[in-house]
Amino acid sequence: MLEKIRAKDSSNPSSAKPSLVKRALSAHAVMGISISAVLYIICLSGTISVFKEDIHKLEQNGEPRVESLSPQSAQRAAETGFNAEPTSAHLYIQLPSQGHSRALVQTDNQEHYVDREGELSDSIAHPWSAFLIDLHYYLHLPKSFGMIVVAIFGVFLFAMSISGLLAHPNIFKDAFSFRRSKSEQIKKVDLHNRLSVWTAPFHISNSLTGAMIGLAVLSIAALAPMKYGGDQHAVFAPVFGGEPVIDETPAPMAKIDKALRYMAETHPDKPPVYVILHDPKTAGQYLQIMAEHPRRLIYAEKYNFTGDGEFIDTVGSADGTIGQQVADSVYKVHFGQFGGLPVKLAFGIFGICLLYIITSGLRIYFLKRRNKGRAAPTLEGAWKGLIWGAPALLATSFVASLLLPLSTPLLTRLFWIGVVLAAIAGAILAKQREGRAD
Amino acid sequence: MTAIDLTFALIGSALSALGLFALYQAWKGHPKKRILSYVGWAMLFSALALWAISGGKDRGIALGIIVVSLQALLFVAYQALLDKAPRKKRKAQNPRRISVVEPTGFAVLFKRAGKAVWVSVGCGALSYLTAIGLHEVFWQSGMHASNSLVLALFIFPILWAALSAFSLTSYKPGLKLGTYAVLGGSSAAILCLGNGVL
Repeated sequence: MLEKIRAKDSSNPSSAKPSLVKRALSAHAVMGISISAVLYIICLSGTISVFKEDIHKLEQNGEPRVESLSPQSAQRAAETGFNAEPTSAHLYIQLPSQGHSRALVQTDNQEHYVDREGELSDSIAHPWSAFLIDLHYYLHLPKSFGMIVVAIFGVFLFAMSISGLLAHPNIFKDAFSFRRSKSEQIKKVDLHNRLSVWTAPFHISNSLTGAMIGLAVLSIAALAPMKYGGDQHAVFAPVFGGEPVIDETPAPMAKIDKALRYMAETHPDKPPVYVILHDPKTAGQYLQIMAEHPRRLIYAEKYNFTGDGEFIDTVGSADGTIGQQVADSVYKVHFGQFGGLPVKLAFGIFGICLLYIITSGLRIYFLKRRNKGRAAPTLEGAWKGLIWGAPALLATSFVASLLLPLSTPLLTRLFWIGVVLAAIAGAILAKQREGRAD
Repeated sequence: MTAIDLTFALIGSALSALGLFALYQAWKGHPKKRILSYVGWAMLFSALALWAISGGKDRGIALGIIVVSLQALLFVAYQALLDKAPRKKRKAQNPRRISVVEPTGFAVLFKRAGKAVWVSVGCGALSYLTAIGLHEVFWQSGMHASNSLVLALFIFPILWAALSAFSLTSYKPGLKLGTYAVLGGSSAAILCLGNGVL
């Protein structure tokens, strides 16, 4: 009889399927358990970061609202901004755009809002946003190291998508299945799978773009000595354009107004969003105007000008090589900045879905353990403490930063201490509850 | 957004909703489910084409995918409403008391730690080497420097993720070692040849 069953199994082509599914599921679980806690914090901060410009408005609301900045005002902003830090090697003007009615001027160490005449206004003070962005980009670790660490979590989120898809052979058969009337475990599994599949374009693109951004520094470190004589900036030159030749002979401020007038006349459908001036007030100064292409995913095309405001060429983000276009699209794709508030809200929803996918994945793991008689109440409690503690801490710290002068480093310390305490408290409470139940 | 763009976007949204409805009906076991699933997918792809016309070649497709994802979640929510939870709260299943003792000996822990190091560091290093090796191939083949760079930048994390999943999923040591050896060996050789080391 046993022989017959074995023979039947081996003749069935699908008999090998369960083992692959099981192995993929096991790999999925191993990765999930290993990375979920940190991944949850990265995704939580990323979901909130989608709305960072809106948060800026809540953090600092006394600055002047500027719907548009005339070329003359932009020129004035450049002069006054540079005068505030005359040693700066760069000068940036962020121009107001649709949905962002603020103008800012930045030098290497200073950031100021400017009014509609181009006069400097308040210094930028967004300690909570800075704390949030540092959390999402670097996990508050030293920047270059932190960025790589976060990127590695992006890699494993992508690896979990692969193993999750491998573990799910009935992906189309179960496309809409959500059995609410079944057990807690089936409900969780169904929702975990449905959200994972239908929001896959979001979490796959986000994990890949995030990983690519963070790991780029490693690739550059290898490619620079091999292909560019050790010059790391030169590696990106074919993509984003090269750095100008430095000539520090003093010269008048670049004619930003003339360049902006050229843009208004020649490309009225491509609103400038940024003015970048390299080596201001030197003979080698180099002016770039980044203009949005509203129907594209690219961040902006860079229009290059001489210091005299004469147009030279474009970098090619909009119509250059595929590589240039893809590289310039990474930011908007990652942060959902390509369709105004509706897309931001959609990214917010997808972000919440991803958080649910992460938490439900661990919940399924704990339920399975419990059903097998291997409950881990302390670990489960700590996990619950983390998933409720982290958003509660973010919300509390945000409100506190509006009421008290809290600096970014202080917010950072409070957050991490709070997260650890929340996890410990969750573990202790779960242990006590388990003790009472016994 | 012009009126024409808006019209295309609305038609695209309606088409994707219809496409999902067709897929949903096929999923529910409609007698013509095969035809319905073909029609559903065709409608979804047509919807993306309309979104590309409406919102731009890349941005429009991204917007279309967002709309399809949101609409699909609504279908899942609708299905969840149909499958009502029982009024009476299910009694929680008593956990099985057969406590399975997990093997936690030194050898097991060592093996697990080794696997973790391999997946996190080993696969990372191997995919790094392979991505740089592939960059060399692209470079030598005359591909534009920007394309080779961006391809290599994307290949690195994709390969890392794929190798990690493969390492944890495959139980065939020969296949695994062979894959690692081929990837690592060929990449190293390509890099040496391309940069005049050999």
